[in-house]
Amino acid sequence: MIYYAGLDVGSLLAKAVIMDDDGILAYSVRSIDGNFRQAARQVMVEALDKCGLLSETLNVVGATGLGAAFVNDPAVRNTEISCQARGIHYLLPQVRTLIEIGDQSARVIKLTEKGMVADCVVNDKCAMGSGSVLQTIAKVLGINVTDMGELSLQSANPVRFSAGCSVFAETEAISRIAENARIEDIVAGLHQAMAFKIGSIAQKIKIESDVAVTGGGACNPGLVKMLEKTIGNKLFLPREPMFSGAIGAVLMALEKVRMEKLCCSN
Amino acid sequence: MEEKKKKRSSAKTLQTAREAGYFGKKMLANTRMAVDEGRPVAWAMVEWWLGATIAKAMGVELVFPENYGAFCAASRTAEPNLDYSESDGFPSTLCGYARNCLGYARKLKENNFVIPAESTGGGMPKPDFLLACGAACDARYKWFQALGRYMDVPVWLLEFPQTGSKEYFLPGNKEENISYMVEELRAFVSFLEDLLGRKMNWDGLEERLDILFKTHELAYKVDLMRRTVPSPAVCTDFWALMIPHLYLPDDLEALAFYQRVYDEVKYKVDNKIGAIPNEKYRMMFSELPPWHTLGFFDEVAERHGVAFVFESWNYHVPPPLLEDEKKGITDPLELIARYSYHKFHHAAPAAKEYEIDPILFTAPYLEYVRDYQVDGLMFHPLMSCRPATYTLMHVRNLMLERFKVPSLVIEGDIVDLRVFNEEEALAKFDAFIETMDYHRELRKKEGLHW
Repeated sequence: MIYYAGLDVGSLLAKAVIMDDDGILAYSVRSIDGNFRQAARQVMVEALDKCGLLSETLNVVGATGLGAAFVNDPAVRNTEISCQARGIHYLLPQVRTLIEIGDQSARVIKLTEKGMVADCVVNDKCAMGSGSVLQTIAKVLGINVTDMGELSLQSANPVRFSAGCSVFAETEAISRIAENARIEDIVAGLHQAMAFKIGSIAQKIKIESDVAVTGGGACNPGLVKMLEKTIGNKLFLPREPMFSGAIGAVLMALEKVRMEKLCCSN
Repeated sequence: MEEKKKKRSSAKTLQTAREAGYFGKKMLANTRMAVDEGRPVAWAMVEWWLGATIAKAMGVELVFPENYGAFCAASRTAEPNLDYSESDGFPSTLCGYARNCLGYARKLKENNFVIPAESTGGGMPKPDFLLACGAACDARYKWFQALGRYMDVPVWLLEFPQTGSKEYFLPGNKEENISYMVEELRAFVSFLEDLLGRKMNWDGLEERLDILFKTHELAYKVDLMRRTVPSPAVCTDFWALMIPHLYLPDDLEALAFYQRVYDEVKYKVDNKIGAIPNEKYRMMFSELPPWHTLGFFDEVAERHGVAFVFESWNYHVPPPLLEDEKKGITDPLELIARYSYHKFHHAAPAAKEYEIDPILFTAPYLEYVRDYQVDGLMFHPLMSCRPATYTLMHVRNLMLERFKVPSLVIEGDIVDLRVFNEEEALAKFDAFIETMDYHRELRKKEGLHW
């Protein structure tokens, strides 16, 4: 049997997926906790354990993400944008636009029918559309970031964040707490501001249906709801939205390995 | 695993390009020598009115703060100047050229106009006057005005008419503009004569114009040769060669140098030698590069076989003036006016064909994209820069809709390395390769020839 592994080592989380020719066998996720190399190694061991495999049995390892350089060789490294595109195409082949909300950035990727990158925009130099702003405001509000989605859905009156900037958002959140605004409304307001920001990025490449969302932000139903409302499209979520990058890393690594074999045989 | 150390500067592919930095140093040294000898000195902007050539014909030595900004950025010595201008209240969103220059000018002033010892390239001496020009750039309108106040020297502004593509074809429009420009140039000559207390050397001006046209013609021929596949030169070569043709085109040494550039490029074309050994993608670059990280372009060439085959229209010479246009003109100021007008409007027929405006920031790209068989366009805007941003989306859309050529936007600043994220830029570039592959297929389906 031939087994493949994909690793997506992000700024906050390391994600691993094990696959064979029939599909996904196991996945695992763990926090980086300041040590990329260790997190990459451990998340892979955990994923392998889940399907009772050893690392020696892996035929191809693909890596992506900010910390891909920390993945031991022989991993095939690829850019996150391409991996996200391949990953979502594997999971939801009808998708033509992908919104990936990671900790460091939000990306809007337009896909070809083959899952290649037709166009892409990234919110560089601005944290407002990225997951890190959720962490910041969760800390200010004294809540767990994983609870923000449900809290947001309970809001009927989101507060307005006037500045499209994560630094100012923190100040504004503190002001709203001082004004006794409900936490649910503050969280919903934050999601709305993020949705505006991501929506404005998405407009630059003219969204095509179907649209999917992945990354840590996709696990937040409050943010996803606001985003659907802002861009006016139904958003599709893969079953495991955090793993599209790791799956894409496997697929791209396979593409490269097959291409190299083809070149050698010619 | 041994990580390859990233190079911040570019190796350049032409031998002549590697030597071109000499001209920047020569300008700086000449102005300092002029001050020592009691001759007049000016700081000038790139203005395409040939105001610098007019001033030189009257014995003025010139230095260009924009070129100095690139010099400081490339040697990574701009940050102290940037910080100093910011401490004087200039915002960090202002273009790095302006901030570098304003910070430098403040240091110069505070040192009683003795060039501070640590100045990059030996520094720019205090000028006797400033020659400014906006040319659609907001920072440039105000930057030299502020400089004039720092240094208490006069500022002369040469500004040209920029007509829309429809207006360009109105009867009499061009000649009215030329008349206006000649009057402006005459006023500039009077200003210089009053300031310097000497008369214009008209014969000297004509000689300089003759050299300038010859240098520009060679530069234009080099541009044409870059249409060849594989491209004989790339952007990092051009940005070095820009120094002689943009700042010293009326200099005999620059003319002789450009003959060597021409010969080197021609040799490569004749022998089918590409600038990079594995040209797979031909890209075009919009606006000016991150001078502090030119090694980025070597990196993408090595990783992906990307050759940047052409750059923004602003920094290239225009096609030579037609003989009919020059015929019978005896006034060198009229010749200059016609050439300057030509520089800013030669793409008017293309603008008319595509029904787009403004001529200068849109139409040339649509011509280049076909002529140079471009696979993708890279924009490098500073978000406060109007010339780099106000037509950005328009050009992106036009290129995509009409030619199926995609583009990539990487924000940054020409001088300020603090706002350029090289890793993010490389990651975006990696993904953009797929985008170019996809659009190459689309072009094929639509019968576009490249």
